[in-house]
Amino acid sequence: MDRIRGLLARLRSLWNRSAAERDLDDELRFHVAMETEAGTQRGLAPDEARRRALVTFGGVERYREETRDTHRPRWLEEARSDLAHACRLLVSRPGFAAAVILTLGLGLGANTAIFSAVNAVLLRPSPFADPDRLVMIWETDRASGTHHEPASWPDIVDLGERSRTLQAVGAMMGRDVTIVRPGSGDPERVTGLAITPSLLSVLGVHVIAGRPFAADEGHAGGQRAVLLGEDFWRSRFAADPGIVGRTIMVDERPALVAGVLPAAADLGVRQIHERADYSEAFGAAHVDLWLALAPSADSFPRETHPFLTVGRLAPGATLAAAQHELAGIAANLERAYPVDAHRGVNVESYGSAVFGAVRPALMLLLGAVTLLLLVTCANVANLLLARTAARAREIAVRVALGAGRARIGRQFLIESLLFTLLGTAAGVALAFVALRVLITLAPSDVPRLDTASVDGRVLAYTATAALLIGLVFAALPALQMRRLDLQHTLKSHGGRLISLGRSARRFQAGVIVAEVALTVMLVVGAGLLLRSLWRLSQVDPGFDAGRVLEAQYQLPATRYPVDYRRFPNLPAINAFHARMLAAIRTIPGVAAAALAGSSPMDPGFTNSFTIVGREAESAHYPEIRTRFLSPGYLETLGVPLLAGRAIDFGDDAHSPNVIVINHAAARRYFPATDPIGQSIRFWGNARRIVGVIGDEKFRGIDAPDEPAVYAPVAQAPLQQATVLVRTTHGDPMALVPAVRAALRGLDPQVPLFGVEPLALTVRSSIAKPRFDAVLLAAFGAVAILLAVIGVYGVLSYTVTERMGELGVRMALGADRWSVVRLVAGMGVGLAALGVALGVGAAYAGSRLLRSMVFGVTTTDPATFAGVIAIVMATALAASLEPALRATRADPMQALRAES
Amino acid sequence: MPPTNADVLQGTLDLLILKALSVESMHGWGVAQRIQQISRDVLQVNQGSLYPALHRLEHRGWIAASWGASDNNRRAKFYRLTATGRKQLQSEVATWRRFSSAIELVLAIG
Repeated sequence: MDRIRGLLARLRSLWNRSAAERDLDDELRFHVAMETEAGTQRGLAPDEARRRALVTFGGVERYREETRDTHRPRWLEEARSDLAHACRLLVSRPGFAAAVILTLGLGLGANTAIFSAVNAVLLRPSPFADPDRLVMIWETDRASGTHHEPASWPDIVDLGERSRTLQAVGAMMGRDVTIVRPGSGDPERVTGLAITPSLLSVLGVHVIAGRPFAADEGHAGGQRAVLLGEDFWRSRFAADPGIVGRTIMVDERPALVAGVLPAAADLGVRQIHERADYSEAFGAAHVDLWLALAPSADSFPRETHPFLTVGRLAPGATLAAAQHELAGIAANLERAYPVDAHRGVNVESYGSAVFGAVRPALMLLLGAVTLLLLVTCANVANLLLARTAARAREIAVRVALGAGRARIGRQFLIESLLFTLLGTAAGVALAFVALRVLITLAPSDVPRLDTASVDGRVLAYTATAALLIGLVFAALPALQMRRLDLQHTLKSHGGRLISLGRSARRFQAGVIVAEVALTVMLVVGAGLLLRSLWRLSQVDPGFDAGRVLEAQYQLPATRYPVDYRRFPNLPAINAFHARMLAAIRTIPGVAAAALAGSSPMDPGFTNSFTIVGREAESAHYPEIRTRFLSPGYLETLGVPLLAGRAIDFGDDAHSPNVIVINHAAARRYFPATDPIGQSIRFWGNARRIVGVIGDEKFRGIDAPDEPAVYAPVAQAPLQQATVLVRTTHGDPMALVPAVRAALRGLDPQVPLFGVEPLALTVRSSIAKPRFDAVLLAAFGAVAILLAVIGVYGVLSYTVTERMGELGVRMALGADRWSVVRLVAGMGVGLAALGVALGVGAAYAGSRLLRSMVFGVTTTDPATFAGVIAIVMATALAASLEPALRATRADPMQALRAES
Repeated sequence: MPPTNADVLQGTLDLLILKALSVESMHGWGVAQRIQQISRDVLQVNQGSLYPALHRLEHRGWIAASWGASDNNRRAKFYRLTATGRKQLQSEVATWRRFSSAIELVLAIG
């Protein structure tokens, strides 16, 4: 207790120095006053008494000093003075301080930002209960070689019933819908996910309001129910809990809002849709509306494969056991049902299905920023070595005055920690900015990236890294100090350097070489990705996206029924599309317009088909891309007609079925014959080929051309149509109000959605490679900057150290040019060694980028040559200033200093 | 001033301060006066040592300080002995007794 009181008094005096000082003054003043009083009582005059009291007392300052000494522990007092010293040093060399802090800030900032992303995407806890027990159940098809095909409903039911390794299964499928909120007349298109009620319990997610789906909800005749996604509930319903229990219109039919699901509940939905072969892309990042779905074998027969199936492993069951068991069940199904021929089952952990695509990319990024951090540290180490060497005199004086090694070591520690602290602060500030940029630039299909933030875990990670760095940086000069020659250093006038020992020199050179090597690796990676991006941007997508607007609408089945008995004569749908096309063609400023089944950048879907007359052979063909277009499509998009004729207004529901095929289909299936006049059969109809058109890059501009057929919109059961409009001039977005008005004029309950310039769609399709390239290029640029600082720092130090020698050389007649060559040669020589190592490592390592490059090999000679040239030129530039400074060495001064 | 007096021996000042404060709490000047008085002016307390010593003892937790009014109504810092200080006093007294009797012994034999 008394100890604590003492400690408190001590702390008070430490932190509240002026108050303690005042107390002391008061106390001493009181003493003098008492002494004076005692004097007057002894009969002295007051003035004389006071004078004597003061004389007896002596100088007040002395007491202050002595008393103060008792106030705080010595180490604290010394630490304080070390810190003050470090601050003075920092201010006195602002250039050096800025270089160190900036360098550390860049390295730590990049690391912190990327780790924030890794943390949010991979490390944060799953929203699901026991996520390691969740598996994706895919169907496989040995005929087409697919391993990630969605499952058919009857197969799911059979697998679920017969399996003992699965505790439960649930299924989902993306299904965008049009809703009308209560109290609002306007229809809105929202992102929906149809799920079996069992899915929620399989995942183990719980509603945050209302109740989950009941087991019977979603049956054909039963209650229609929906759950709201949390974000959608907040943004469109102002987080009103009163919406639960009310009815909203979903695709023109009432549905009960049963509850609200948390925002995190849709983790992986988009990634699973993307992983699937033959599944429509799930475009949005989040689910707005969850729809109850109770499929039946009638509504979803065994030959259709729309369901993404999630299972939960039974207690004790392993993934391998489930795979083994389900494969056996699938083999039985294959024997029992002809439509299940060639089919099997592929069980994959849910985690790898969701994160499989993004984990390697994130790890690559983390690796890159770690390399960057290493380069940063090497750089700072070098700067510090040179700095300590230049401080030899200061240190020698302190040692001579009795400072112990521990005391000097502590001085270094405090300086190092001060630098690291400031660098970390700069880094964290940078990370906040960088993370925002990262989230904005990153492809939107990275799960949970939008939730990334610099949180406690991230800060702990950064602080740990910073502390390690700080300790290493403190150890370096302390080690260097052991070489300090006290006598020599103190005697010399110019403030001689601690000349580095052989090992320190080797370390410095090694750091430069490693730094340049790492820079080369990063820049080679960036160069390859930039060249890929350039190649990608040069690819002809097969159509001209300039001045084209795209938008979509969906006709509700309630008023626009698809009656397959009358197919392709669907009067309501056909008439609507025809009137819509006519309406948009007459909008002023429209050069050409057309309807299509999907955007030219949307891969759409595939169908099995046969070629009439070659049935046996074509039974084994893979499915073919099936697309739709209206008259005017080729003109609107600038797609060339290669043979035959285009679809025209005469090709309607009452005329013979026709199609056009693309060049890839003609080459693949009609290599020797003229395709025009041949017939292709799908959906039960034979369709005559009337034309061949150019290949469009609908699977992405980095994908090879794929065979496709294009059927006329007027001969297809097309409920969702894409509007394509080319303006005569100017921004295509200017047409949006007119297109919207045209649609509303035909049916006010049908909303227009997916509105964007086609050029933007094309650009977004290479967002991921662009992101990778920009990111790596940024790292590369930073690495080059750091290498420059590193080379400059070392040469600069070397020149300072060898000034005498250089002066002597010049005094003995060496010309300037040879001195420049000597100094710059050192920098360029080290850089050349680094480049050689870096090129070797990049050559071996760049194959990691194989899946990320397009149109260049990972050992592209042009890229390597360019990087070598850039890095060498940079090293030379960094060497020039020290080299020129060397030529200013004064021979006389050099000779005097040596004596 | 008496002709023979001595500055307080190094190391014994702490003991004297604790002893002085064991009777009653007082301010720094009072401590100096008390030591002088009791020793019949033989021992002079140097102010230069007194205040550092008081602060040192305070920080060790042997004495505690608080501000109060002196007899003549001035603001003064009063020191008092803490429980730890009282124990410390006992052990210092014991040590001193052992030490001084040892010295006596040496002198007697010499």
